[in-house]
Amino acid sequence: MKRLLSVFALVLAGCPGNNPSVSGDQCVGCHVGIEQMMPTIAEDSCVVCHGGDRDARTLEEAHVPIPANWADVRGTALPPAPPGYIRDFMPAQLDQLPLDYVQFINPGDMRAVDRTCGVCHAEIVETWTSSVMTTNAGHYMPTRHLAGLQDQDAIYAAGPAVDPDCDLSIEGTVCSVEAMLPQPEAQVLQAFEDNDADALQEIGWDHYLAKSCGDCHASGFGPNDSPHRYRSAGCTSCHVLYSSDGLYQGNDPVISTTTPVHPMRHEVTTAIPSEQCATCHFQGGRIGLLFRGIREGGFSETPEFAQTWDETAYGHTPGFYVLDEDTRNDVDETPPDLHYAAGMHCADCHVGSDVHGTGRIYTTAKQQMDLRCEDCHGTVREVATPDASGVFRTEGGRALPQLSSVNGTVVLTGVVDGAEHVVKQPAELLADGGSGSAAMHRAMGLQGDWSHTDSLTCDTCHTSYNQVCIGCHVSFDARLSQVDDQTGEPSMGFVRGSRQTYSLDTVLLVQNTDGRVQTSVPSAHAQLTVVDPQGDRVIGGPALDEQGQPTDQNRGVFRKTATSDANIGFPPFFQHTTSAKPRTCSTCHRTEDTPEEWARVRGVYGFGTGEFMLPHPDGPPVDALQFLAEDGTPLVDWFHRDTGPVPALMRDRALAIEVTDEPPAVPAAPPHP
Amino acid sequence: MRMFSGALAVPFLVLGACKDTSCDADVPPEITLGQGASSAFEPFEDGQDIALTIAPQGGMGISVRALTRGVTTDNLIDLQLITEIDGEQTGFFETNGILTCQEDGYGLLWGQVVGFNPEEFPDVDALLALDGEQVDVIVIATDEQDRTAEGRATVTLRVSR
Repeated sequence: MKRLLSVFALVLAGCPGNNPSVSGDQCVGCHVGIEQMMPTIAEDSCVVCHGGDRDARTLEEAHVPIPANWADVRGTALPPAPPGYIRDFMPAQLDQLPLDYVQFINPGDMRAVDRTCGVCHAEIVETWTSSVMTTNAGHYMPTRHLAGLQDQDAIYAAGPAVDPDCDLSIEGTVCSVEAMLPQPEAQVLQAFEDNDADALQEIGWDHYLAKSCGDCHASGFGPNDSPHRYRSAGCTSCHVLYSSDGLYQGNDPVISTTTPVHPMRHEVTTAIPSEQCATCHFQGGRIGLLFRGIREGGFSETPEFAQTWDETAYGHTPGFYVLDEDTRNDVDETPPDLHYAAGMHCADCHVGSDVHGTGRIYTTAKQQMDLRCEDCHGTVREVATPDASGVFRTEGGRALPQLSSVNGTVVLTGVVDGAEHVVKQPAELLADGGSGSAAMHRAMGLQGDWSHTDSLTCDTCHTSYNQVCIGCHVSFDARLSQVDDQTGEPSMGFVRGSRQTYSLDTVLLVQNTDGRVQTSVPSAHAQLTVVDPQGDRVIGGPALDEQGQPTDQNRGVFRKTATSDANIGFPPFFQHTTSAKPRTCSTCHRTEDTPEEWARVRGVYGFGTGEFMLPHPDGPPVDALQFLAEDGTPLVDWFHRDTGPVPALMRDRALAIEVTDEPPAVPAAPPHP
Repeated sequence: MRMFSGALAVPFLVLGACKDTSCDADVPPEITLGQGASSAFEPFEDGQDIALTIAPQGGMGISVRALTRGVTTDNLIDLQLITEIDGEQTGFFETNGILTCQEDGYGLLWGQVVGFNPEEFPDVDALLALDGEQVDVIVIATDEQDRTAEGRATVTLRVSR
């Protein structure tokens, strides 16, 4: 039996249709009660955005017809769907459809926005199409750079983009990027035939990127196949909200409320909750999860007494995510970011060019975004202040419209719920008569002209934990095929990633682009295995033990360059797990003059801990948390310019200091609700 | 794929006029497993090739839809998601979900991932080895009234998509 739960039945049953009393746009003759998308568009002007025939009185005449090539474009790799369904199409599939139809289904699609959103928001549309939100460029350069395949400027992205007005003097920008597509089968087979190890490694990495990293960018829909990851594409990826089950909850009787994928309501909004952002940002840095107090588990052993999230979510089986590490105690070891706990959302901070771009093509999000904690909280010396027109701005000049000054107090008005939050100002807390604790004065206060905050980013201390994944393993298997995220077409080579374990209490200090110290989340331990069409492992092999003898464990090769034999990436990274309770002084400084304590603290600065050793097929095991040799020589490459180990002078000064920890003035987070 | 549009459904409705087509009909619990996107539901055929769905950045499972009768709709129900190979259990996950009432009286469940125990299949190689394996996919739905429906389908796993 094959059947279709058809929306057409609803149309026939529920549509008043052919209603002579309806004047003007006949669409509302059927779509009675549909929500007005936005106040500036008359409620009977559906065709302004969707196209179609507003005067027609039948569905067939009113709607833009299903393209004749729809079935061919859909192909066989996607699941069965009703005719015309495109909400799981990848970018190249959308490219093949008539623009009128793409616009009809999703007026916010980037292919159609010049006709729709861009009519009023031309400047945003112009910048957004080359922003990292659309190009996803930051996922491609680091992997390829660490593998010695390119420099630190973007070459590839999820889709092509050109900036005719590019200005290469702007740090981190390029004039164009091209779509990352997997090498075709003939090229793959030739590399196997030539036994070309360099080519095979490039193929492995590029297939991994093309087949794993491309479905979360704004030029395509993504799979739309799992709770919590339903979304649209283009402007409506963010500005039209979807429920976790993908169901419509509005008043239009002819839009199905019983089958996905439909927006929650037919409304556009700037009040975007974090859950909407997480439909994409549950991967990559996982900040859409971590910000909400959800830690990815799944690949690694789940702690025995953990509280897991027992829903199918983001395409993973129930129990994949961890909410609380240990339910036997009265604290949550992995709490939500304090801003989320206070009711704030991503869009309270990340607005304007942070999300829409500036028109330039940035290599990574770090280069496009300019927000710093100090933009809202001020510094230890000065409170945050608005400009002459009363507008708070980032150091780069971007307006922060959620901030205002109320009787001298900095207040953030929540973009989602309108709630007002007093933004604490360290300068006030540290001032004479301020309520800052002794510990706060010790950690943040001025010591002469210097404060720790001059040398450290705020999150270096005010982070409750970092989730450090250890031992990423990428495999490319030529016996199998896989769809790539750009074309939607299967091609030779199946790629997957996995990890060995994780750590929640690792702290690694590195230098950020602004010269200050920040914690690193080493997300790129990747080792690569390549299996040929006959099933033989041609890249990677038995891991060697400390004596260089083969073990029964197989591992991939490390990425190598002229300067590194095991190129692990150690990027500075803000994990979005902000806490009021800071790390203790002994996180970065010794508490006593013992060899063990020296070794522990040296581990924080990159000299290795010996705790996580990664098997290696070409040499002895590699310390997963080491980026400095014993003499301080860097062991790895850094994929962001101006980042690297903590400068030796600063590091040695920090290592020389011995501290006594004081009890934290702020209690730990309560158990996960 | 056969399609049941409203027009086509009319004769069936007439012929079956005495049949209770409401979602809360008191009929024996039943559940059929299949796949589809949007409003489509295509039952698994015995031995049908099914791609192992690849979750982002790791993790794999079988994406499953289910059509039910005789089990409470539009309310949380308990779900057991199970895989078996040669009669041996290879995956067991407990969760809950909502069977959404369809206008023809069926409940529809979507977006569930039926997977494999991470302890037994700890890495990609273990999952890749499942290519070509016959796997029994089992979904057990139990509502507040303890009405239980068990759906089972045997599919051939394909590690690609």
